Amino acid sequence: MAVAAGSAPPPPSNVPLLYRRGVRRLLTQGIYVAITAVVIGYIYTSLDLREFGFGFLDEPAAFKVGNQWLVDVDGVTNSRLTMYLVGVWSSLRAVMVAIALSTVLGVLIGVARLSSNWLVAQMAMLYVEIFRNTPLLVQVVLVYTVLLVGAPLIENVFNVGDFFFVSNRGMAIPWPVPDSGFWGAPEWFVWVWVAVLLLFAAAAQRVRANRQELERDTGQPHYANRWALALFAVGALVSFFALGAPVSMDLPMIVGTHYIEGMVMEPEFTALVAGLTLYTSAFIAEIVRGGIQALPKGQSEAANAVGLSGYQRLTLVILPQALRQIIPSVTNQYLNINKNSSLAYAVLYDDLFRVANIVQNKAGHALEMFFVIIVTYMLISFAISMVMNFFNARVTAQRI
Amino acid sequence: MSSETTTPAPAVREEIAQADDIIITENVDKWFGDFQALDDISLNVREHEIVVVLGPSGSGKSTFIRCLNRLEEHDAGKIVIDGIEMNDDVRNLNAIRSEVGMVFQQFNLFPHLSVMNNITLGPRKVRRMPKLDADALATQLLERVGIPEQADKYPAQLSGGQQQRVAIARALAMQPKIMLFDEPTSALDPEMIKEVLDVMQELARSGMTMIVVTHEMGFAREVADRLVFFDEGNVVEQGTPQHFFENPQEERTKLFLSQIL
Repeated sequence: MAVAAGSAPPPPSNVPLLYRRGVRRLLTQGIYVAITAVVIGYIYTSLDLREFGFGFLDEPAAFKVGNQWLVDVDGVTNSRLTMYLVGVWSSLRAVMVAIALSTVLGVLIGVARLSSNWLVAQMAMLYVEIFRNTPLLVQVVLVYTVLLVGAPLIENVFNVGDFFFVSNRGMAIPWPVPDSGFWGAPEWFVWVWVAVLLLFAAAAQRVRANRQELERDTGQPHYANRWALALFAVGALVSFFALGAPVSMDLPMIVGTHYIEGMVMEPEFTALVAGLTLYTSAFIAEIVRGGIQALPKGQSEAANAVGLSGYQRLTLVILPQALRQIIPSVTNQYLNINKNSSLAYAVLYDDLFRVANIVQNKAGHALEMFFVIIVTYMLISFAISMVMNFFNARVTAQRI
Repeated sequence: MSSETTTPAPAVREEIAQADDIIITENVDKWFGDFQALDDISLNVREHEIVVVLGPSGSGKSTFIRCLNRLEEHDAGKIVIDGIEMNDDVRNLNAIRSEVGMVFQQFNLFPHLSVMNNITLGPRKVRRMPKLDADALATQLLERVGIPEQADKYPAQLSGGQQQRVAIARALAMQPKIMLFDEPTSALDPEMIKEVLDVMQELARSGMTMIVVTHEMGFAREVADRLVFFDEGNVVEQGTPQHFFENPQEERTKLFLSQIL
């Protein structure tokens, strides 16, 4: 402030002290510093009374966490921190799937709302109005109820060829597991295969780029995607058998009233992801529609006059420009998905918030747990923002 | 429509006198809700002919040329472009759009693409022209409109007149037989109008069939083979520039010309 005040000449000495800008600045800052000191002092003494610390997180958990995926933690010997991280992983999984699904669905419905086909446009509008105007909590619980009550009991499971089951305990599908294959190779052979797959993926990407360039240079179709896919598929198959089939499919089975083996998508996960997707896709649809409608009508007309097809018009002219409007708003929706995922609480999906609550019930330390919860959500949000800012920078690189 | 009082258009140039009609419109109607924008228009244009369309705002002149490449759909009547009828057949529509180029009042360049890509987008994506050929064509067209040095800039970096010249090059890149101009100089600063009109004049001399909606009377007088005056969705009067400026027949035409000249 001294620097800023220094630029102007000092007022004549007959101006009362309270009317001097420099004095006022000093005064307000003094008040601010005093309040802050009081608050920090209060927090410090309170924390001291409560024995603030995170040591309790290292103690054994002694509770179970459901809805695990690709991890298998029983909670007997594991620390509370481990269980919390299992919850974080569950949250991340739901958030990532919901972001992917709501983006695809949102863009489709947003474009559909602008369709010249009356029925398509009206259906899209109905979708948006229903899911945008009802609470997310209601949607999540409704989907969960439908899955629990509407789906058959596991005794009358809906069975497709003994490899796909649907019941109110969730959906079970086959899942790949490492296998010794026909030579009895060690299990790590599966990683050799994965490495080979990555090589083929890189090669396919290369072929795709080459063919796209050829298509651009000659104007003739060179089927870049088909060639790349074919190369990858052939490479995957050949290397699979050459390595002696290092992976086998684990078929789901029902023993008593439980699924075993295979991969189970539990109703809690489905309900949470479905709720988040339905709700958020309605907002994303509106953002996409707004982004497209904000463009001058002349852009579509010029694209038409040049002779572009409807699909070319959308992908070459409209969406590249609309993305500048769309990405910042869609980023907000992704952040909402992250925060709203805490509604897992309502359907007993063991996300980070629910696990944190269990820990807190057992160990106390509410202040520390809420600190951990808030920091975790913020970290996930920052990660989402960073990725989206990267995309935004790419889209807005050209000033228009 | 006052066709009986309209003077038939005498073809001023030899090549037009012998040419066939490339645009045929018969009894075309266009409605916007309750408002009739075009009322029973029958207007033919010969190959290589330069037609300038005049009229007050709301007279239907823009709507008329926008119907010629289906930016607006006509409600009744018949439109035939170079022997292809404009109907619900998608193949016909695509064929017509590749024969008809259009230049807009607001340029409507694609702001996210460079000048080069603005011009080559259509040839590459619609005509599947190799990139090298498309680039060569674009360079040649930019030279023709007088701004070869702007190829790598973006539309926002150009002046209005330069943008409109790029828009003309973009339309020409599809190698159309017919060019439609919808008030191409109305959004320009006065000192930039001439550079665009010069390009259009050069285009006219090269034998392009052109329909130009404009208020540039100098251009109309100098370049047009025929002037057509629209009012309230009708063709009120048409004729050579000489007929129009020296001896207009209709009261409505006289009134309009007295206000604009």
